[in-house]
Amino acid sequence: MSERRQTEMTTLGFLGLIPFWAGALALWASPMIVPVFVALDFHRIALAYGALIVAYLAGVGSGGGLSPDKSQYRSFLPGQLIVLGAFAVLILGGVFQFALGDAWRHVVIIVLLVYLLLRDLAAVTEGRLPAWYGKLRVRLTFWASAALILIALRLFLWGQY
Amino acid sequence: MTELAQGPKAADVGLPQSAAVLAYAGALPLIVSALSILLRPDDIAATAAGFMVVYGGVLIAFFGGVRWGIAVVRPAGPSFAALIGGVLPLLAAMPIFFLEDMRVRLLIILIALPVLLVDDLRATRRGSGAPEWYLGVRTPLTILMEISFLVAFVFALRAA
Repeated sequence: MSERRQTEMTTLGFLGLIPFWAGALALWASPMIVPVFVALDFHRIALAYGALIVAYLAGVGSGGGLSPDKSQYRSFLPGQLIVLGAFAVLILGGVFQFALGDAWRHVVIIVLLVYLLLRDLAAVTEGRLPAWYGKLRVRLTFWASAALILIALRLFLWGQY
Repeated sequence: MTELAQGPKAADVGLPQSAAVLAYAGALPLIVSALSILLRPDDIAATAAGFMVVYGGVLIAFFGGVRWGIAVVRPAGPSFAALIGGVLPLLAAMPIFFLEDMRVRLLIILIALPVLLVDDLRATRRGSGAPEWYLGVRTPLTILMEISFLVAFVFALRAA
């Protein structure tokens, strides 16, 4: 793949981190600079966005396992389970008797992101995904997780867990 | 007649059985929710519709990811159009979680799912998409999901 295309993909990937870092910055700038209700809106956006990114990356792994040769097909099951995990993060704001605190929902997103990274790195090792993709995923997962850790920490400090 | 109109070649129609089972299992929560809306419209229908909206948003992101994953493993790498096409479902899914109006949220899903399917079918026809056996299950699955979301949409229209 051309260097230009890799640069485009890296740029797109890092642009995709904006909602996470906007959430982290808003929460840590609150209440001094950003009003609390605005910061909490940023946290909700980061949470929904995180769950969507998890579902998206689960889909990328599943799509990468779709081989024209049926005998080479990789099961969708891990991807579907991850999608259910993302769904649970979004729905567990309080349904029936179940509820997961805001900070813990971010922690679940981090765990799912790290699992997906390990899964994709294994696919790179097996030659099912290209090496450049693995390198990009490591960088993006690191920075996304760092932002989510900051968000979760702030919410823990505020007692929202 | 185009290749698309003719449908998958007979040799490609048979797909791994596990893939079919898993795909339909993935649609089960939607079908159960739609049935709940039909059978219990006065008590759990609103909760079921809420479930469906969240599940639909996550599914749109997943299908966008699948499309992107297929592009990534191509030897030449993904084209810029494929990159943008992979990101658009994410952008389409975001408002589903923040809009107030249930009808609009369901409408986004009702539009996005067939658009994604048609885009996948076109990519396969061009030879840059999923293998035909995968689309052999995606097509009936999308129809099934559309019917489920339509049930929720009609409920939301009546409830408004």
